[in-house]
Amino acid sequence: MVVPLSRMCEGEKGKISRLELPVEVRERLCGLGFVNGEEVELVKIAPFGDPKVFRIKGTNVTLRNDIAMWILVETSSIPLSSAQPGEYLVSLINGGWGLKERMRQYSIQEGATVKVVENSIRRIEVEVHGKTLFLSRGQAFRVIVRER
Amino acid sequence: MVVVIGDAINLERSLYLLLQVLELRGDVVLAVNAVDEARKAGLEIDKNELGKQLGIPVVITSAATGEGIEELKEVLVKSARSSSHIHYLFSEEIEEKIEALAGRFRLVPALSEFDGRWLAIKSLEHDNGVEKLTGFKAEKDFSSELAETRYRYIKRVLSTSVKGKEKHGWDLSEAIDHVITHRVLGIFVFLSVIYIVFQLTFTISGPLSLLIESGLESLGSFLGNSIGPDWLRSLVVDGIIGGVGAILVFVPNIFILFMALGVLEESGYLPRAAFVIDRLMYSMKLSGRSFISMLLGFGCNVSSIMSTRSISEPKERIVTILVSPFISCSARLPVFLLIAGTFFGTKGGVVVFFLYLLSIVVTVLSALIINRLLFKGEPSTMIMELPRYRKPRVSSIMFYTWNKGRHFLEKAGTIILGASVVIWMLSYFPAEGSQSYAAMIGRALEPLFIPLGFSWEMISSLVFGVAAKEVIVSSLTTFYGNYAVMGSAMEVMRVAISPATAFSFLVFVLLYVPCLPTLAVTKNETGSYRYVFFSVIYSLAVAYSVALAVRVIGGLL
Repeated sequence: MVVPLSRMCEGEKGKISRLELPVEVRERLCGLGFVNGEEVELVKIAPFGDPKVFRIKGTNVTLRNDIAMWILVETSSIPLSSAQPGEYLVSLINGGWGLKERMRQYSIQEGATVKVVENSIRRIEVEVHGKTLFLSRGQAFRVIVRER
Repeated sequence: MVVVIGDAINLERSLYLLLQVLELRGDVVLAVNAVDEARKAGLEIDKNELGKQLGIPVVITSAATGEGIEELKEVLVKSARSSSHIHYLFSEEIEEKIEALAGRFRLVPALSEFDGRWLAIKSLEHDNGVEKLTGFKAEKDFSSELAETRYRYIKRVLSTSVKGKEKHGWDLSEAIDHVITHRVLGIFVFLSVIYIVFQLTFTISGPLSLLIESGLESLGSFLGNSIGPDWLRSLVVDGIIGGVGAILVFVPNIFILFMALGVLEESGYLPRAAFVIDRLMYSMKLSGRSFISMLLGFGCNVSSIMSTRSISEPKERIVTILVSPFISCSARLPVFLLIAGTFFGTKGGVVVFFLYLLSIVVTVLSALIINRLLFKGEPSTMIMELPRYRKPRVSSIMFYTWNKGRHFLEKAGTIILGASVVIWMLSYFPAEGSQSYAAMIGRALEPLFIPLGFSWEMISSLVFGVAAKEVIVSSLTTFYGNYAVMGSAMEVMRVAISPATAFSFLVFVLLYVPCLPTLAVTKNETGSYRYVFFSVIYSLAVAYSVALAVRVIGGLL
């Protein structure tokens, strides 16, 4: 899916597909490596949600949301909460140790296969290793998956 | 002759800058720096191959170990002209446009000092500066295509000249980053670091300042006993030693602050701190980097202005320089303590707290106002590279500290020295005390300050306070001391000045004209007297109106 850089989650990667940068910063960002087709990763979000650290061409660069929103990236990842029924691979779990541990108990961990059975307003029904589970939207939002 | 210094670990990006410089058609030498780190990371750079591909001299250096520095010097002397530049081509469509444009620009006499091809490339990138220069605007923005071509070319160059891939795995830098920029821990780390810096500067510099103070005192009394004529003794002891000494006392403070700042900058923490705190500054249309400068202002406004040098955006730097004098520096504290203690007794603490709060409020509002006045309220951007963590080296920290602190010493020796002599003359001639020129100036200005209720003694000490804020204390006590038949100058002041006036005086002291050293570095760092005038007039206007408001409100209570 194509999202602005500012909407990516921590740890997610994507390929830059379009730039609509304001003139004043365009040259600077080109020089830092923000060009079409380049891979970029959201490394870290600052304590107050803005700015964010992105890794591009091997270095870490901070951008604020007001700039990052003009850079569109093609990611194959989506949060589980917006996944339609089908099979997915877990890319990462965007949360603290506690959430990761809980998900691990459900066998939901990086690289695992998850099948979404039903995505309703309240909860997401998934099947992992033949077992059926219900995840809340909040939990599902933090599990980032990509299509198989 | 241009030397482009590249980062050996991240040559791709460094070469992008190099290509842009080469497009300007200058003589360029490439220094690939930090090669020691690159070797550790398993990278091997073939400088001959790189030089052949790019058509310019390439030197491999390491500023940390000193490797290659001599060679770089030799190359700089030898190759005043580099032989042949690389000529890399953009796509056919773009090359055609470049050729056509370049041909047109070459015919314009006004543009003859620029390279035609470069002008053409910049025009296609919609570069504002070049568009203004040529008066031509390309119908389409090709900057993205141009950048992609450059990167493609760089990849080809690097594929033959750099071997080995950067190792990936557990990375110490990343582990440290995880804690330092963490959502919760990050703020905690930030606050502790700042606290430690302040504690260090004040605990270490305290005794040193006292040492300097007592040294100057004994020098003063020694000279006072040995110099003949009265006026000369007064000039040397009260004027020069008193005036310059008031500044010298801050030297340890400033040097230690810069040393701490040097460690933070060298190690790579400073940009992370700016990152953590940036959101708070965004509402002031500034960035996290200026927050750190402002914070330093609580120690001394001079060091805070000097530290703005690492703010990359000029607009933001100017705003930070202009507002940071409103941060209440440590030199204002003696004035606050004296007057608050005299007039408000045990409530003095509350008064001082209010003044600090006011200082922050005025700083924030001024940042918004000045941004609107000078830069039409555009927010600054926060594009910043987070460097790798490095172990700070003693030699470079010493260099950093000396380099920044030196200017302060120079100012003490020149501007402050001159100002001290002038101030001394004003207060000594034609007769000391209430008959002096200073007193006349105070009386002459009195009508202007009637709304505020300041007496000429207060006004004269404000005039002196421009040299250094703490001078206000000594001149107030001198002036009022003259009246005291019995008891101290404080008691005279308590009778002569109403609490509301005293309070508005404090506010005025907090906000009025930055001290001379601050104005001097403002000139130095902005490179123009325009901003110095702005700073003086703006701060006077703010001080006068806020002090008036305080007096009126205080009078009603």
